[in-house]
Amino acid sequence: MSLIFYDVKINYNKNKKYLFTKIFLNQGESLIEVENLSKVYGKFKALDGLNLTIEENEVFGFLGPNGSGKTTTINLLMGMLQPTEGRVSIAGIDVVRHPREIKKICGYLPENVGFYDNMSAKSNLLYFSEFYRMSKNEALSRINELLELVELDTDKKVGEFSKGMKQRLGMAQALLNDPEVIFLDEPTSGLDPQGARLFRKIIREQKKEGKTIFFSSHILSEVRDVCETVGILYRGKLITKRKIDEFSSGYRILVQPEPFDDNLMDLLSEFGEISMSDRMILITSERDCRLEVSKKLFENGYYLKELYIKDIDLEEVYMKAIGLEE
Amino acid sequence: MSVIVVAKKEFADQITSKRFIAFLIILLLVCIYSVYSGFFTSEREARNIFMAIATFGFNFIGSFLGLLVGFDLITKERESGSLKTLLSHPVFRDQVINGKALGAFGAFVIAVTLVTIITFGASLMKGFSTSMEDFVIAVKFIVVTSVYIFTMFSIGLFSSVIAKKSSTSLMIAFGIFLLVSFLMPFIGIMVAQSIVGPPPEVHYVETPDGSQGVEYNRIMDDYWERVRAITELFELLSPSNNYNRVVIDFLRPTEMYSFGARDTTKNIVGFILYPLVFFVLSYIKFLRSDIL
Repeated sequence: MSLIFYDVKINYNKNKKYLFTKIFLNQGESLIEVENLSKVYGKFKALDGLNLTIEENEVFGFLGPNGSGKTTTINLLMGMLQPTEGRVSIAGIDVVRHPREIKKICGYLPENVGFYDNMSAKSNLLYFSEFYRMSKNEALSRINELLELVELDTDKKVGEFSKGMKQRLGMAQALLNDPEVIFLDEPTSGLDPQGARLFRKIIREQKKEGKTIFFSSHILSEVRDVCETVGILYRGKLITKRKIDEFSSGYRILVQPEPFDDNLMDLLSEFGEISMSDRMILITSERDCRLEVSKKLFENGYYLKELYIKDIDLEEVYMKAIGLEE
Repeated sequence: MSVIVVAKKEFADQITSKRFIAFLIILLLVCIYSVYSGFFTSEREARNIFMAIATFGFNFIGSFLGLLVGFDLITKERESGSLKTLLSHPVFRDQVINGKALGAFGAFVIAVTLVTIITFGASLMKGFSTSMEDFVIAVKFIVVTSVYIFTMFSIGLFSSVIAKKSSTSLMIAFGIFLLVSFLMPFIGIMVAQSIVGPPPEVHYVETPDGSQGVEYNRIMDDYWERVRAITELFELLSPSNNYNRVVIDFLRPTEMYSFGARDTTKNIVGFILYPLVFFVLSYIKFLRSDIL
């Protein structure tokens, strides 16, 4: 661990005109490292020996039912809670020992984010900016940029904001210091479809800028849409963590031929495991055999109404993982 | 300096809040009325107005001001989620609580100064005599009264740190306030009576040399001295009593307040310790609590 070199000195970037923090990691070193992390409240184990590594510039989706420990994990990673046991480091910085340094390089959008209701969006952000070494002009410029990014153009006091508007402001405050690591806890809850789409766009843009994103959500389609890696937490334990495309072994090819008869089973069996339902055939194959399938069907006098690779059904994976645990 | 950033915001929030402004107006009205009504101010010396505004204004309404500023300082932020948002930025928890206390103290100093100056001005307009020494007393009064309101604030802050909801915090704060300000002297009397017992029955018989009378006085003085020692111990736990004693002490009482000429060192110590104890308890609890 001592080989990791990091620089948490705040630098001024003339091009971006706001502050940023440089992080240098040794090759093969993970940006976020969690070792045997536990959090106990009385007799209740909210988190039970979590081990997790997240690479730099990864978008990590954290799934799990209510009360599984997702928010507790994020709070521990942000240094908001003291772990009962275990160790967390981000960019080689020990979170428990140096929570302030962690907050300089991280941004956090909590679930049910709250602000000072008697202040406007801009005043709230200006207040938070005072904890970073930003001049007022730099802060104002960054704030205007962020409010434009989250499409929040209002002088109303936050107390008059809707849940969705607060959520947008929450995203702006999470990005205020141009963080290297962004923690998003149920970021799209309370957002309308347009807002949710905007958030997904922002996440993709942040990824392009090289940021690492830790993303907890209940909306599986959203996780599938933006995340590369997914972890499923259940009763405080990480039951699986994989690249999203590793959740499905092989290809699931859906075919809808015309006419539909029993001969199709024998005809397509050479491509893999076959199952039929509602005039559709599902071929589970180790390779993408769509061309061969279409050729074979055509040669045997069948026409194709549909032929496509079915996406990974994350819900299925999730339910299966949870079901196995139960 | 993050603590200054928090203090600046807290100060601005307080002095612009409806609650604070309402209390300030009530304080002003009560203090000016107390001067014009003539109670404590029959001697028409400007310094006497301090006793009037301490008794009528700050001792009671000032207590509520302190309590009501402090009771939801943390719970409100916890409930709204702003505390979590704030702590996700590079600021330590001790900076948050110190900044909040500093900002609130600043607001109390402003309130007390304003009320004192206006009431003092009103008394001069009414023809009260004044001297340079009165200005020194005014400064002392402002400091002591601000500390007194801060004491009540620290009780409110403590309940705000230990409670999860503002409504619970309000009940705890008022419970502590009632206990220390009103019930403690009564508890002292009850404890004294149970320890010392009823007054001794001494049959007073007049003798030609008066020795029986002297013995009677000695026994009764001894009895009341023991009662007073116990009740005073309990009174030390009452911030309002300590505040009164300290104010009386530096006003250099005229014959009217001659009862206050007793040694007030214990009261001064109690007066300073009270806010310290509650603030330190709040500080420790806040630093150790989980922000969920």
